[in-house]
Order: sequence, then structure tokens, then C-alpha cells
Amino acid sequence: MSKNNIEILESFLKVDISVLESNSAEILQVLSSVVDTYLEGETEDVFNNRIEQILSEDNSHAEYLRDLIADIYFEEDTNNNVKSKILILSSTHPLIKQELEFRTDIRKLYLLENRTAFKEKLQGLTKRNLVESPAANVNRGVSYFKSLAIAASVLLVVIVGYSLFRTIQPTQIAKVEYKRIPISVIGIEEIQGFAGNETLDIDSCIIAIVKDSVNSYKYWNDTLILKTNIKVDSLQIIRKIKDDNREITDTNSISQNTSSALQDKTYLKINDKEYQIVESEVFLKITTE
Amino acid sequence: MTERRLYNTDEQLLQGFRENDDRAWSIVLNDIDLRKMIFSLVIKNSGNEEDAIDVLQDALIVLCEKVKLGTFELSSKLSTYLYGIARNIWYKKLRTSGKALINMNDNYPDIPDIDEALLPYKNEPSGKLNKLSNALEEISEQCRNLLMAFYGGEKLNTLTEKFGYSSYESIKNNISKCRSKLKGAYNVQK
Repeated sequence: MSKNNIEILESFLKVDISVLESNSAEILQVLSSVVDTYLEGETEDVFNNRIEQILSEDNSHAEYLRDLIADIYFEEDTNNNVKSKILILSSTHPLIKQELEFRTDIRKLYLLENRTAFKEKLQGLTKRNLVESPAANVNRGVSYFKSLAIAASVLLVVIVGYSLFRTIQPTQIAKVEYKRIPISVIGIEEIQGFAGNETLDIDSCIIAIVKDSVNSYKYWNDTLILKTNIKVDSLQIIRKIKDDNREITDTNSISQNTSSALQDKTYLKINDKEYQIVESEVFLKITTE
Repeated sequence: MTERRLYNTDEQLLQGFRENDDRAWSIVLNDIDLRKMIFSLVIKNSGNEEDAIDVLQDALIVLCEKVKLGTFELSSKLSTYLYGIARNIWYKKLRTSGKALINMNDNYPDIPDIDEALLPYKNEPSGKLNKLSNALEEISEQCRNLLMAFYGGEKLNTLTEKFGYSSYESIKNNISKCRSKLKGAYNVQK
């Protein structure tokens, strides 16, 4: 007949710890299994009292047991009930608490030491994603020279303003949801963010995806202000009605009395690229995937 | 698209963080809704787009560190939690740079239990960690690296190969010996 839990524990205590450490004695595997059972609350009171008594002692066997329990605590697949049991145990056994803190502190040092590398990895993952985005191949060279940026901005204001009044006027901008909007384009070097510009109303600020082509935009009074570093040849705000992702109506045939069951999306179209305006949130979502 | 199938739930993402899976991090970093929230927060409060990305990455670092320390319990949506961390990070950055909050009137509660030692702009170990760090410098480099990697959470079978041990038993024994040396050095520090 196989040994019961107490007998296994007593057998372990009789073996010299150096022997235990020098080979993979069978007793260790059995003991490990018994400790697991104990932590899961499935052992008898006599055994529980005995193991808890041993865990309070200051000798190599007790240390081995505490080490084993700490191993279990830090294993990835240890369930929360077992972890809770270990924490409860540590509240009455200072040496277990000390061991858990000791390991936690080493892990903290490890995480601190590796934080820079981790940050770089996350930066790489973020950057890679942006590179893959459809509007990422934007020439950003103008931002090196502030004067050039300002000049380019002025030029863009003229081009976009002209473009709007000449060609965009018949679109749904004014008719559907928005007032007719003169366009102003601000160079990238001129402001860091709309929220930092006190002349603008923060509450009405609308933010767009950055690092693609449009950095941000907002409505301010009747003006749509774009913060961008791309050359804007044409700009439209387009409303589309879709049914189950099948486009059924485009901007020029939108009726004011559309069914609410249909999906109504608004897009900012710059040159040939369309960006969805997510109306419930202050954001632009790239939809040209 | 495959990534989405692998990580459909917050619990799956957390498991991905534990296993250091790039795909799990990538999903969070590029989550449109989360970005919207954090961009809105940062840019409305004196920051720019770069700051927002930076804060998002730092929030993810803090979360992953908590997960790896076993101190994280998922009690709300992961995105809500990350937003809470980002909010605290940005708030503290503003405070240290002498800027005031302009617009923080969202309904997200503070996350009060972020370990100060793990906040991204407080990288240097201090106090107890400092003593332990000094003790680790006292033992051999091989021992230090082995203990850091093992207690840092790297898997034993990976370490056996990484450190050139012949068997599971031999690396366990060496960890045990190194640990005794470290404890000795640590107690001297005290």
C-alpha cells in the first residue's frame, strides 16, 4: 500500500538535504505532488498542522519546502485559489513571506533592467504598424525648415481654399451636417497640438490619427482647421450610406430622409485617400485597408 | 487577422503578455478605440501625438510588469485599465513639468495601486531594491545572470540551453547555490 501524506513528509525529513539536491530522488516528486494537494486544500488536518509546523522552522528541510511553495506561487499556471492559500500561509509564516518578497524583488529588478529593451520592442511594434498603414508613405521633409513650412502652409491654404470654393461647394458638406467651411491649413511646426493653443476652444477639438498624413483637425467656429504636412490638392467631406457594408449611396445622391437602419458614414477625403470620421468619437479612422 | 482569432478576449491577451508574445502587444498598441481615448486625454492636456504614443507604451509596460509580478487581477476591461494607467502617468508627467490639467473630466477612476517603483519615469531601484541590487553585484556574473533570469520568470528549459547546463538537475542545483550566495551577500548589506 502506498504511503499516506504524513508518511511521505516524514520520509522527506529523514533524507539528508544534500542528497535531495544532488539527484532527482523519487521522494521529491512525490513530495511536490503532496504539497500541491495541500495547497489545493485537499489534505487532512493532521498533515496540514504538521507541514505548517515544519514551515515555521529554520532548517534546510523547511527551507526546501518554503522554496517549493514559492516556486508554485510564481509558476504561470498556478491558479488563484492556490496563490491565495500561499498568501494566507505567508501571513502566519514570516519566512514564507520573506521568500516571496525576496523573489518578487529580484523579479522587479529584472523587469527594471529589461524595461528599456521592452520599451524599444514596443516602439518597434508601434512603428511597424504605422509603416504598414496605407497613408504612411508621406513625405515629411518640409518640417526641417520652419520658414519653408510656413510658406508651404500659406500655399496650402490658398490651394485648399481655392479648391474648396471651386469644386467642393456642391458636395454634401453644407447640405447634410456641416456648414460650408472655409479651410485653413496650419503647418506642422506652428503648433504642437490644438489643446496647447489657447485661442482655440478645447472642447470642440477633434483629434485624428497621427503620423499618417493628417495629424489632427478640428472644427472651430465655422472653420475646419487641418494640421497636416502633406500637400493637399483636393479635400472633400463625403457622406456615404451603406447597407451591410454594401455601399448603396454616395455623396451626391444622399437624401436627407435616409433610413436610420442604414449605416451612415462620413469621410474626409484628402487627395485620393479617404479617412472615416468616427462621429461619436473625436478621431479619424483609416478605412483604406 | 490571425492575431484577432488568437486573442479574442482580455484573458487571452494577458496570457499573451505572460508569454511575451509580440502579437498580443501589437494588438493593444494598435487598438483604435484605446488610441482614441489616450490621444484625446493627452492632446486635450498639453500633449502631442508623440506624447500620446509614448504614454500608451508606458501604460502597457506598467501593465505587463504587474502581470509578470502576479499582482494584476482583471476586474474591468483591459482597455479601461490601460486608460487608467495612462491617465495617471500623464497626470504625473504634467505635474512634474509644472503644467496643470486642463481637461480630465472623464469618468474613469484612478488606479491607486500602481507600484511607484514601476512607474516608467522612476527607473532607478531604491531602498530595499537597491540593497538587493548591490548584493547581486557581489556575486559572480554567471550567478547574477542566472538568478535574474530564473526569478525574472524565464523558463527553466530555456535557461538550461541559454546558460549551457547539461541537465535540469544541474541548473536547479546551481540556482540553489547561487541563491545561497546572494542571500549571504544580502544579509551582509542589511
